[in-house]
Amino acid sequence: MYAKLFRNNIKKALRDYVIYFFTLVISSTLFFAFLSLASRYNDILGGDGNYSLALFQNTIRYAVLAISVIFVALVRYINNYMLKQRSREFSVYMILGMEQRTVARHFFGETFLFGMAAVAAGCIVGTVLAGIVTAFVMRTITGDASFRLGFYPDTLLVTFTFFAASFLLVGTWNVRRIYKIKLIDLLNEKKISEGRDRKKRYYIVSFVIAILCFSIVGVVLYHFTYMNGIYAGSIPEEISNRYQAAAIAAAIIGIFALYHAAAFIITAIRRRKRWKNRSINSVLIGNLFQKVSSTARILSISTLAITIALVAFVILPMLAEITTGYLDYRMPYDVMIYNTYMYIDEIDDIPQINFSFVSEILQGHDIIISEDMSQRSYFVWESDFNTVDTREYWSDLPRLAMRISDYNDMRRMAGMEPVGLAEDEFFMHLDYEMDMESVAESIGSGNRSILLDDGTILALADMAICNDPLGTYLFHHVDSILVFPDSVCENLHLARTCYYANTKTAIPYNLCDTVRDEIAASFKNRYPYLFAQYETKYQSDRHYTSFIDPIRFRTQENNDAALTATSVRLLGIYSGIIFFIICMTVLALHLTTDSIDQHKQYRILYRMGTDREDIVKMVSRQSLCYFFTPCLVAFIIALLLIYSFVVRYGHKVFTYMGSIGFQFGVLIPSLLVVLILSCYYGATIYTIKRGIAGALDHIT
Amino acid sequence: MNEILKLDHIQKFYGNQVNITKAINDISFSVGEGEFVGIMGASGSGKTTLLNCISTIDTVSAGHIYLDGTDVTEIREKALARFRRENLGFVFQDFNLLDTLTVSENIALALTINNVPAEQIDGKVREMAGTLGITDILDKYPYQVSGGQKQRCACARAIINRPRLILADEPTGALDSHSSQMLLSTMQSINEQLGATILMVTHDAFSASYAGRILFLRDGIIFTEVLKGRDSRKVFFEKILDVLTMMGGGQTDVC
Repeated sequence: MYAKLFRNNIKKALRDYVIYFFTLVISSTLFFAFLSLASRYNDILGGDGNYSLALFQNTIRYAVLAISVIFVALVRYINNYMLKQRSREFSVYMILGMEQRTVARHFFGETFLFGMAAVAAGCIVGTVLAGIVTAFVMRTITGDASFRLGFYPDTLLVTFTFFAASFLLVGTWNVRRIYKIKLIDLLNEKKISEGRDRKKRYYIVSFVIAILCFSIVGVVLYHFTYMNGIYAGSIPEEISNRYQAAAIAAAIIGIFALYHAAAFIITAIRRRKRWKNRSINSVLIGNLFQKVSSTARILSISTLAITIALVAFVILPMLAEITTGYLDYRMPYDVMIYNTYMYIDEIDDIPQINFSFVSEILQGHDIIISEDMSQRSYFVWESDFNTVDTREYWSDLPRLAMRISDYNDMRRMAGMEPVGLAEDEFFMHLDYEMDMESVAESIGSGNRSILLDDGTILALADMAICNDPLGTYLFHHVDSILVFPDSVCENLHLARTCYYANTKTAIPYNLCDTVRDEIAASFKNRYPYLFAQYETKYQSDRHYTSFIDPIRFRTQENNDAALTATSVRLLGIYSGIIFFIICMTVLALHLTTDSIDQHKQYRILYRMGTDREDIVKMVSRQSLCYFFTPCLVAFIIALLLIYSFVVRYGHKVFTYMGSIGFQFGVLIPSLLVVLILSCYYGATIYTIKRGIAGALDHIT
Repeated sequence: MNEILKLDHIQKFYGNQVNITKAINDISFSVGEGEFVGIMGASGSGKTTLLNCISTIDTVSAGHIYLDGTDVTEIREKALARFRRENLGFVFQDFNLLDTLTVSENIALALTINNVPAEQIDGKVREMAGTLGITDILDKYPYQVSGGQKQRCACARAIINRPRLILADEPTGALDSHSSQMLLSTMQSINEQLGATILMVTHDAFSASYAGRILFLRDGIIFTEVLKGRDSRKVFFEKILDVLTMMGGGQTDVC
């Protein structure tokens, strides 16, 4: 008998909580598929030495696990909901003499089996999706996108363990709860009225707070946009953080306040008698009032989670695009070695580095250099040199100057045409990320010549500004470098010597770290006075690295950037879908179970002569309000937050993505959101309508 | 007649120190074995609370309840389940049948929980169904049968373990008059033929007229008590109405 009861209860749960079941299937499918990327049985692990997936796999593994912790919250919420819905049934068991322990174990067993059945289905579908995701990653790295089905026993084990642990954890909570609950409370659980009619003042205060918070969001974003203009599309991180934190905090408080004030808005509608008294609108308003006043917290959290999902859907793929685009600009050469004077106290201690040892090291590893060069930067004025003690802050460094011959060599190595410069002229090489138009505008109205220490006056060339991508470290913590004639630089003091090389064959990924260490060690041997004098003094400084830093290799950067972009893109989609479907499930479940609870109401209305169509229309409207209000609010908030990110990344967004890329970055996630939303809403409405039909057919 | 149930100065309070509601205010009475006792009263008079306390669903604030000599207020939480399944049978207004089980399985569940050997269950269920006239619906699910049939199924479930006391909370509350009459006749026959002791809460004078004794509750205390004795059910019904009229409410005729 117990077995049959157990089996029938699971069948009933599958019928009543079909949306939850499918959410678990989708969740475990995604979990399995994404985690399979970190499986040691996955084919993509066998790299060919030109790429390494270690970092990517670790990122995916831990991020997927971290994001998936949200499942525990979903499982707990749904289990609590089930417990409430089935409280009457449990009380019957107990009244018939079943021990509380047995009731708790039954519930635990049913929910556990229900969940694990969904996970098993998810793993099967996940195996197919894993093939697709693996092909996507392979395409990013090697260009090969062939689909292959794989078997990943370790992923299977982790998936089952993770979900089983989640169900076990929540199940233990439930067992404790049922074990402690009093029979009379269980019997009355569903009788407790859900609606909470608070004092008018409470709603007014909530409403005022909501208006205030959203006004703050508006003002903050307005100022943030204004700052963007001042900083020519490159607002410093600290300022961006401050503005965004303020906007996000105000938005969160605003969301909570808005839903707490929603009942007040509905009450205001209730007063519009002409509308209220039309058809069965009063019933609709009454139901909505009860729902909103009792579930303000759930609606707020759902809205917040949908906002996170929407932002993750758009922002993370956008960041991935920026990372990929940024790579082409950052790494125009196969080898790039930069030098810094930040931790040198005497200007005469700045070394004029001879990088010939680098080619010797590379040749020692059978890497042939096709072309290389040393690029020197100079202080425009000697007084620009400041030590750690005389700088205002650690990165308070001056704009430097470089030779036109070095500049043209760099351009040639990067595959660009050289530029000309007269002996009494200079121009500015600007960071690729800066908004060139606004900088040109500011120069246009200012002084267009420069007076050097030796009395030389240089005029700004007609070209004035150039911003072709030649690497980011060239600027040394500022956003531009000046390009002078070679003869002028002869009289300037050296600030840095950097090295760039292109090789005939790509440097194998696995060799990069070894070569880097050898270069650093060799440099230390050749310039021991720098380390003897300054390393001991400054090595405790958190910004101190070395005197040649960073040392970069295109193979490694390409690999890391491409895989970081891929992982960010995948995690954006993963977290977006997970957060979104969890919210959809909670909202859908509320609606379907509410509808079942309201069957009595529908029957009364039907007996009173209300048309079946009017009842369905009322329930559809009710569902529409309950389902779409959080989505609409979340959509507006997400748009504002996405806008803040666009302002934050300023010119980078359009520089690296292009406006079409950005539009696609928004359009594709939007389509995905609409698809998920439609599926959940459609399934919910279908379930509700079927329930209404059953309830009304029963009385005819 | 042996005394099977004894309530000794029962009190039940709700609320906190500032705002106390006295649902039951010092009630004492006894029920003899094989008695059919009705408890009547207006809404909020404390009749369901009293039934919940007797049935161990709720706890008392003060006083003692003895069932067959055992003080149920002293039974520990863990032993309560066993006490319920061995001594009590319940019939609710809204039936409380499990939709996932057939009528036969709903009745059998009470036996399963009481650890009755599996091979005896089917026979006992059929026998009880025969007694209550629901043999033809045994394989149907609760949503496929009428309210009256559901309640007779609930009755069968309540008495199949031959409990010491059957507690019924508004058993006719959700039934039409014909079904109510059939159910009450069934309960009366269970009482008379099987010797079951029944304690029934109702606000309906007609239902109450099937009992042998009525306790009238008002504001948490026993207002009065009426015995059927050798009177006909019609006369007893009139007596009940008189009391209700005195208390402020009632029905005018018996059909």
